[in-house]
Amino acid sequence: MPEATAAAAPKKFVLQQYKTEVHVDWCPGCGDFGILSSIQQALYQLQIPPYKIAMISGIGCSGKTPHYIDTYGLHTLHGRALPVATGAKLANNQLTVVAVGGDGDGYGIGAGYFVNSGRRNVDMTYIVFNNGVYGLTKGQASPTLAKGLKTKSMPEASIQEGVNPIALALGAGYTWIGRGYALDVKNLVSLIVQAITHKGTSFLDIFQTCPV
Amino acid sequence: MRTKEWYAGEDIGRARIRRLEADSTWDPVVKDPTNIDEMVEKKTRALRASYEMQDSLAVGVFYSVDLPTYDEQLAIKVPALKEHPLVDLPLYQRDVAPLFSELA
Repeated sequence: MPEATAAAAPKKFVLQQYKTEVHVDWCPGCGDFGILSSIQQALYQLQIPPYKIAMISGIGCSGKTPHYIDTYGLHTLHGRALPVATGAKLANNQLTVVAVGGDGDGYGIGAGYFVNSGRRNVDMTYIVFNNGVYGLTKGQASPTLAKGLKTKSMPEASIQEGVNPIALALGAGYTWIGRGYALDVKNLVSLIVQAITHKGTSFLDIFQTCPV
Repeated sequence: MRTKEWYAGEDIGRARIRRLEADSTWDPVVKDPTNIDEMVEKKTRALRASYEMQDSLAVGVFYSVDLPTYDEQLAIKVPALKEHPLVDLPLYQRDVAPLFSELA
């Protein structure tokens, strides 16, 4: 992370340069706002030039994240943020690559990519907005929904166990594993800074509150 | 589902979120990646913390180890990558005629 500077050093880039003018259309009360703000603040703290960052997303509410961060970005296919991010980093190792997605996108549709990205250890960061539901399609159970919970779109409570993403990441071989909470922005900024600064694939699971 | 109030623990009278680093003995960093005992010990503690799922939810750094990256290992096999990113290499100017001749 050669672009990183100490927090107290004069800032070349201002926080506003990491924000776009696109209207953020997540639901009122969505935890994604805390995560978006934390990513922007972390990039600002690290003073990574926006033109040296690639934000890559899958499908779902979290997939809109690159729309709101003024860097290079790709909103890709469902579950495919990690392979596209891997390609971006291997094509241009000068980029800081951050993949984002939801728990359905990453641990359901993209589960194979999630496991294999752990053993590969490309120097990039993967951030998962984990809320236990497919929020964009109104609350179907996602892989992390705990047994016994019932979402608004389910006739009965779940009789399946939820996936444990941290345990899965430990087995897959991720070299940095963390978890944050969407509404504790101060702590989340610190975790994202550590994740991006880590050399290798860093994986940050974030407890996210979904109003759906 | 998992609301702000649920994470704040309004139903149990205390916050569900707990910070791993609040435990002074918590050290998720593997110092010697060649030491399998240390690696397994750190992973076991991280795994234990990850299974707190109801009234106590751990946040923070669970595990960290410094291992060679894919990019670094690739650059050993393809030294040109140390000088230039792949995107800067003139891929489309490569003359593949000798390869075809070899296979002819």
